[in-house]
Amino acid sequence: MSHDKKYIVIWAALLVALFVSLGLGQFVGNAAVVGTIFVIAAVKAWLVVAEFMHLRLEARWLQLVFAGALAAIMAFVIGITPDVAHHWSVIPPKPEAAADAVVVAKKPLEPGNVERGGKVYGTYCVGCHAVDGKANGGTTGANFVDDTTRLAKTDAELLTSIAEGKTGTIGTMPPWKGALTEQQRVDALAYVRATFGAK
Amino acid sequence: MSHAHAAPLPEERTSTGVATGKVALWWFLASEVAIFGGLIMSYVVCRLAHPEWAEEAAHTVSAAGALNTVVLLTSSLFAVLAHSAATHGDMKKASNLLFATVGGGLVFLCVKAYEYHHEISEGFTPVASLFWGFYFFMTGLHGVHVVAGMTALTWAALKARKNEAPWAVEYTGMYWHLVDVIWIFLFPLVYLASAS
Amino acid sequence: MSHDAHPQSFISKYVFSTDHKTIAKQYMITGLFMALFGGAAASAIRTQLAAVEPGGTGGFLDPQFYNSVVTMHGTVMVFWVAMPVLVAGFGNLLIPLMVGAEDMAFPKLNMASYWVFLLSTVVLLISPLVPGGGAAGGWTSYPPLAADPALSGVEWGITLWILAVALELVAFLMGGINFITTAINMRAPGMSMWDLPLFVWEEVAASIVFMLSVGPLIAGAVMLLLDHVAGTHFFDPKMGGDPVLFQHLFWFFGHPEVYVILFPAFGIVAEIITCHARKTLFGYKMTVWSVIATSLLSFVVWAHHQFIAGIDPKISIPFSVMTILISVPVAVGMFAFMATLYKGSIRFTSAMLFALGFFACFLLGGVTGIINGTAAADIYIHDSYYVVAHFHYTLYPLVFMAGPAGLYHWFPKMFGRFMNETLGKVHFWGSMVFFNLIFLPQFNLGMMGHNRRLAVPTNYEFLSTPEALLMQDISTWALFGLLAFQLPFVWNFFHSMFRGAVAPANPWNATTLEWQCPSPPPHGNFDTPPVVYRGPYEYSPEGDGPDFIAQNQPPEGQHEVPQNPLVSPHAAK
Repeated sequence: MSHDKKYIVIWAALLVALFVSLGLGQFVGNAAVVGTIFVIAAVKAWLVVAEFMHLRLEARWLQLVFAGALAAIMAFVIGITPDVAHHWSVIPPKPEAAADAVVVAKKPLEPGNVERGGKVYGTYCVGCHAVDGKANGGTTGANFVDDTTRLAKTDAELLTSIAEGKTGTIGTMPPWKGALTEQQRVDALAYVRATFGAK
Repeated sequence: MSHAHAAPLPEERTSTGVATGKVALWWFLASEVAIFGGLIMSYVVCRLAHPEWAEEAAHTVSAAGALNTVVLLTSSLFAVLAHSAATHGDMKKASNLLFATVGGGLVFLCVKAYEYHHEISEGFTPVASLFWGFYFFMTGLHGVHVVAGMTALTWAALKARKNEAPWAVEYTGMYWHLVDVIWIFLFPLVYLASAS
Repeated sequence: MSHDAHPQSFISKYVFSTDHKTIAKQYMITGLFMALFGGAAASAIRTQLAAVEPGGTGGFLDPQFYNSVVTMHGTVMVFWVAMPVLVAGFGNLLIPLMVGAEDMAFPKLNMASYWVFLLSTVVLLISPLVPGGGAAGGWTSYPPLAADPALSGVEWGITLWILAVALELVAFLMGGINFITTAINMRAPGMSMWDLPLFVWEEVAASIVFMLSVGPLIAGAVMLLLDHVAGTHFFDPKMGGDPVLFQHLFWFFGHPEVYVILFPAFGIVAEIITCHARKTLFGYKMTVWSVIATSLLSFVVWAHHQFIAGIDPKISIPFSVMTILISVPVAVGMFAFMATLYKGSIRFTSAMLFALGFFACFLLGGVTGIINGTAAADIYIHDSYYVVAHFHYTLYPLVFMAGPAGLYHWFPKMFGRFMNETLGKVHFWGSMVFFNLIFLPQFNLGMMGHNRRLAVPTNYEFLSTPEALLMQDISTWALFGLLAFQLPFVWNFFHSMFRGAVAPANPWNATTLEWQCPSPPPHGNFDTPPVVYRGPYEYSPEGDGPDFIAQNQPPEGQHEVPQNPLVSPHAAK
């Protein structure tokens, strides 16, 4: 019967540990306190695994099975922490803001250049709008050629769509203001109008 | 009288000296550790990136969490006492203790149901924020395992009453202990690590 | 004692069977059936890529549909062909036989695992047929694309896809418990762990790696499903979630998974090479340790799939180092094969030819993995066809060279008949030539900058050059050649089941225990459980006797069971 008594003693110790954690839980905010709470949890878990599940009495290789699972999880945590534990709520300052701090004359915006625009279109726009501007039959984006309402919009409206993105009937166009400069977006629009617009 | 005749049941045959059922059970428990470990550690690491979750965690009901911890620890005690009784041949006592363990699980689920109701009625649904998404998924998955454990324990208890499957007393109890261990980690992570 | 005394109905013998050999056949046939779908998807992909013309015209697949075909190809081939054929098929067939057991430790659990797997197969096959089409986010199914129906346009297709994958993973968890427990605890008397055929070690390692790595993905898959249907935000950056977390959860399993597929294939090749070269496996213990080392390292290399995904650049360094390191134990296995062949008496059976073909092609795949695994080089080639060529040069030989090798080798054991060797050689040479013609050009395309998962590559001028178009054409025509040369195999497989030449118990004069019982083995396998006296590869022993000694053959003059049946009777090596 001494086994039973031992189990009850361990149970009592687990309850004590629980109440200690509860007490410490009033002071959370202090990293040392949080650490202590988790050490206590680990000790409690170890008591249950070793004594209630009798892992302490099992063959070494069987103990390694459980330890192996823990080791795999440890590898997982170490691997993801540098990425996932970053405080993503802090958005790094935009590069343009930094450039503003240094007084540099901004290049004036030129009218859209079809040749430059063709290169922009051929790299960034063809994926959805296709080389012929028909967007694979209007399935992957706006079909500039067959749907005349598209290019009938004003330049301002179209440039906003390019910069900010747009969700429409076909799908969602991503915003390009981060990837393309304003000049590039103006050039691309000029190319589109020249190549696919009504002649 | 050849020693080479294999016993018909896997439980009776072992190349390592460890019962086959126990080998299988520890591998199964290791895979459960991998599942919950992956989930819980994902939560922990996300939590490090989001200190503001401490305010949200303050809306969990710590008293209920603490009560549930006491309940699970006690039910684990009953489970290990059941195993002890079974090794001494007292299957009736083992059966009763297993039923007590199941009872503990039932209390746990009732407290949890109260908590969920309370939190959802205050607007803290699984989609309210990322913290609550993790909270409901982790405790929900744990709850599913509690139900599965209660089912297995009930089956073992009924078998024990008929003096059958004595190994089930130990094995279902071990599964229950793992469910308890998972909760031992969930409790401080979700209830204690909060601003108040 | 074999249990074939009681008569069994067709249903209990072939459908709801708990016999590991039947379950093995069920897994294999399901896997080979799914290979038809995987191959059809590959045909659609390659036809599209050859059909498109400069200017972006000529394609016949809607890009959304193309993406779903690409997704299904990868998903089916990894989870529904490689796993059931290599891991569950050969594992179920051979583990109990090779350890001298009458069946797996838990036959009913084994049967249940197959039915869960079959259910997962049905769910997957339904998934493209629902409104909205099938999952189209690649087999990796990254959020936000896979999580937000507004982005992908797919609703039920993704839900069913995730459920199918989850069920498949559960089926293999159930199977894995059986493989590990049977190999550890149901070995015949006298069989120590160091007397196990390498195949059993490999299957145990595969099962352990699978069981310990799949947990985080199960969590991640449910989180993705919740994001998709329930409106949670685990991976939604707008609400504070992290898409990179999903990638970590996926690849923490995804990388060990390729070793889960690799290990059984290596095991099959080891058994075939030793038997058909009549030589002991070179460095058996060292090879076992290399399997253990590979298993451990496989857990710490996963982020090499994410080098350009926006992970912290600092962690690229340890992951690159570990990735290069893992090539060492894998190479140890390859060197063991080479050294085993050296000065062997090689019989060029179909099985041996496929094993050799596997060796050559996997070698090329493996060394190109080093380039992919180095972060600096990967910045250029990631997500290009260079990666596609690399993983096909590894995965295809594992599944479609080691797999057929195993089938040619163990077909007599499974069905009591030989497969036709001439058709086997035709199958081999055609496959070898055309497989290489498909994927060698893709290294070039990758270096040219050809992106993966691109329905209309000729929208881009740099991919419309005559050289690029030629590569595409060669690759596509070669696929049709490859498919044509699988026809002799399909015919051979089914015809030989009923009309093949009858095979004896040990047609290849092999040493391991599965050959020391009838072909096919009865329910219960061995009449009396074998006793093991030696290691698994006693080929070409000294002296004038036969050129092999079976594991359960008593030594000269000894007729009794060893005193301690748990210890191998021969001296430790």
